[in-house]
Amino acid sequence: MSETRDQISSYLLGELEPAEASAFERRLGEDPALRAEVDGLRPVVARLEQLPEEAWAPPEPPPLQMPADAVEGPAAKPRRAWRGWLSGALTLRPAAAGGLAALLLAIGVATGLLIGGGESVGSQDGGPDLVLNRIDDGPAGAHGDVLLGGDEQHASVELAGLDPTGSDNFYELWLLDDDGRMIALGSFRVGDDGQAEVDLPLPVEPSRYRYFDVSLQQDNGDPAHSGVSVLRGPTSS
Amino acid sequence: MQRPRPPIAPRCAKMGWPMAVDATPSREQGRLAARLRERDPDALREVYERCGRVSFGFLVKALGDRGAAEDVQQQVFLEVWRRAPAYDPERGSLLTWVMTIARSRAIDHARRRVPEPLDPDAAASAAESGSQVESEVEALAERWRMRALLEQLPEAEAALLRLRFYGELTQSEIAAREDIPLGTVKTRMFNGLRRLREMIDAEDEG
Repeated sequence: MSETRDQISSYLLGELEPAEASAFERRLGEDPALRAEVDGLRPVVARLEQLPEEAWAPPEPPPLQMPADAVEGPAAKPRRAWRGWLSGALTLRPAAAGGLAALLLAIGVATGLLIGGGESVGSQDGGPDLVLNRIDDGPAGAHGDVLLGGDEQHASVELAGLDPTGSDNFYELWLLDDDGRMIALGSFRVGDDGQAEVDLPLPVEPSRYRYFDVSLQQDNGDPAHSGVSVLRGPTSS
Repeated sequence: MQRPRPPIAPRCAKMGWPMAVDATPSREQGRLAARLRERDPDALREVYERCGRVSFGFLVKALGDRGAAEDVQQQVFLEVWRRAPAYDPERGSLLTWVMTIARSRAIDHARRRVPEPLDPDAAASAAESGSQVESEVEALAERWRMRALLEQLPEAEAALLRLRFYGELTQSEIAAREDIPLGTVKTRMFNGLRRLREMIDAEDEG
């Protein structure tokens, strides 16, 4: 058997002499088990041969940037529980109604392309825990998640890694859809720790929209989406 | 054209692997996963040490931009940290899981580079471009999948496969270079190939 194994690898690697290869192929024709073994290994050899050169010697990766909530050691952070309506520093803003045509196209169409691959993770204590990922205008390391209440009438949002807000700007949470429909859910500020936790009522079922979106807004009186999105994620798992 | 031989002689003398090897049993991966769930930052550092190089290599190739790859790499491990409760060692190796996340984030990033249409009529065209990008990244990820499996092989077998398929040495040349019997090389080669096939079958079934 050992000799046969040796011959299999040599045959698959093209290292048998022509006469040896012919003899081995005759054996393959006579021995279905041997043929099955060789046929099973053939695609493995092919895949190894196709493996990109970079895969054998990948470049040195950059240093890991530890997540904001991982720098202080094992925290055994308790899972968030639903905290009820408006318990954070949240104020509600009216939905943006007009002047959004270009934005609807730029954001609405693009979001359909951007977030399709986002996964979400089922929470251990209720509704789905939805992931918000940083997008183009978001700072490196920004992330967030949305915990929907069991009745999907409330959401608890936890964000980290955001730039602190100043006196002339704030963040806004939205529901967005591919066709550009959007609803402003609420505004909030972020302190020097880059973190925010807000609880808010949902005026509609989030599943009617495709994405949660967090934008950075200027305090200029314009209720429309600024077009500066920093985080986005799907509304369903 | 003959590729340059890899600079592996010093470590291969003892049949080592020149980069982080993830040939740990699932029990150890289970312990690591448990530490991640307990929010142990050292566990994340360990995962990065084991998987960061391969995922980064994939991202550089997939995105064609080292800067973008560095950015997405951080996103990937941020997601590893946050999604740790979802990882089940029984369903696949840690590196396979990390590479799945890397593939998704690479697709997200690559799609983002498709020009955003200002004309609604252009939306279909943009979607088509996005789909093509996704296919390309998926194909690349499939090829890199074998790399993740190699990390799970015993070091001795993985080192031989590397010498054969990257170093382009014959089994006889490997035996001479490593000063081990030719029969041992052939046996390890066969065992490595067979183990890879079993891992592929197991993942496909999973």
